[in-house]
Amino acid sequence: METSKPVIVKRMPDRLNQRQARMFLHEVQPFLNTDRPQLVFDCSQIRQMDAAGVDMLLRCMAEVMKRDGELKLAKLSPQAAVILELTRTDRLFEIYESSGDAVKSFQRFLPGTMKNLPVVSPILLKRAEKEIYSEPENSAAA
Amino acid sequence: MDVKAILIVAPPAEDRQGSGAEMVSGMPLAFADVLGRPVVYRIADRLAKSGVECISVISDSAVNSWPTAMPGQSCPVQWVQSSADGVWRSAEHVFTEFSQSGADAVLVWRIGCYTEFDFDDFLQFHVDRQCHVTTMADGDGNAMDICMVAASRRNDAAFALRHQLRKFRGSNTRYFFDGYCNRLCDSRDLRQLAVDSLQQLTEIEPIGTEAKPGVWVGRGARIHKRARVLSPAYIGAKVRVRASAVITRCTVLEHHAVVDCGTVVEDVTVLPYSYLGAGLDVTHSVVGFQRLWNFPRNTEVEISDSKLIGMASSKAPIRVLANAASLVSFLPAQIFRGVFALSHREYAPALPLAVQEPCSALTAPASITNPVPSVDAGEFPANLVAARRYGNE
Repeated sequence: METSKPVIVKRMPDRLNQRQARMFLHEVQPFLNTDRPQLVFDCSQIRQMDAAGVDMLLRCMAEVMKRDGELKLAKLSPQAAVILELTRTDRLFEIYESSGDAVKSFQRFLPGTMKNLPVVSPILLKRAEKEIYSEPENSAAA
Repeated sequence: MDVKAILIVAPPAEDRQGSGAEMVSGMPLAFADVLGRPVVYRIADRLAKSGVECISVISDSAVNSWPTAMPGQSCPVQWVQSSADGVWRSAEHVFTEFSQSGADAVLVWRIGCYTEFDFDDFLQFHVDRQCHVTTMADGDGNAMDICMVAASRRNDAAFALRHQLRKFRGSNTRYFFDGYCNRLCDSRDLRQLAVDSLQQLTEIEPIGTEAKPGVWVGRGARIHKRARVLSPAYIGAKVRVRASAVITRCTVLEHHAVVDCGTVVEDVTVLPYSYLGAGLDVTHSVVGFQRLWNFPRNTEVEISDSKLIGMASSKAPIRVLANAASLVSFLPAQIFRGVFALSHREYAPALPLAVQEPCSALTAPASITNPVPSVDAGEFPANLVAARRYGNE
């Protein structure tokens, strides 16, 4: 089964400082304002990104989620990956190795999507498991 | 026996194009701090301890980039400034001076690698073999750019120095060394040296006091009481670790570094005067000069945003002025933001009437009346609900 909505792939600029981030947000604003937007940001060209760039990504994410849509990142350059990791925002996005993979992920049922989810490091998984399971144990102990 | 030493801080002979080998952001790795003291001083300290009285360091770097010893630390070397092309020529001049001043042997060491060889053993080997030049090699036979030259053999020394310690004239012997050696080729090696030193695999001792087992703190460091420092770790002199920061897994914060609130620093070397912004997750890297060398991704990232990673001036008056300026501008900035900044608050759209009406289930049904609590009903009144009871309460 395929979704009827189109998936929009947008290539991000090589520099994402405050000015560039504002321009990029202005460019993608029409796509964000649609109903249930499905967006993929191709981050392969990013060489420099600062806090304004990360803020812009989070703002896009918030807008998309407000409209029950999805925003995915694809083909992260090492620089972008390092910055997202540094600012702890990598765990908020679904990240794919190529734009094609990201687009395909929109066209699948949930079980299929689960197979194509980005590889999560075992450390993060363990941390998440701990967070999930530690609460009942603590409350039981109390 | 009078032995003197020449330490040469220059790129390796193979790096003719200036590709930046043995450098970190334009600074030679020999000048980088490891647990509170630059590598070049660490080497000089070891030589001085072995009885080498006169040590000259020849460098083509600008004078203001030379490492300075922290207050209370000794500076056992004489610096010689030279041009980029004239480093080896300057070494020849210094060798001649040493020879004329009555030295018996001269140790020439291009840094280069950091190694902890037994100086007395090396000298004894050189004397026993009666060679003009004795070179050092690691267990695999690779040259380490360290050699001992008889001070009377000026021509041999000149030949070796002109060929950047790659070719030698006349007889020379190899001394094989199997102990600790770090090639210091890039920032990864610098990090490895710091980790090895924290794990006591080298003889490098952290400058500071051991605040708790495995955690070394330099003079004047300020660690917030809500910050967590897990051993092994090194917090250098005048470092500031702010609230809720976590320092863990062999992290090394060199002097004057600042870690802002809530930042997690794991397996990282933070170079002097660096600033790590609030709420970051810095792992498996070397950070400094507004750059980040990430090892798992094998990439170098330049970060221009000082909110993420910044760099303070190495000059104290400029740092004081910058701090004063930020303090003075704080209150006006807050007032300006309060008055003129746009509110990002978004109000929810008006709810439909059906939703605004109170749910009928919330109103008490007409047929049920609230029972009047009876005083004689027992210990717990009937209209009380015990949400949670502990033990026998």
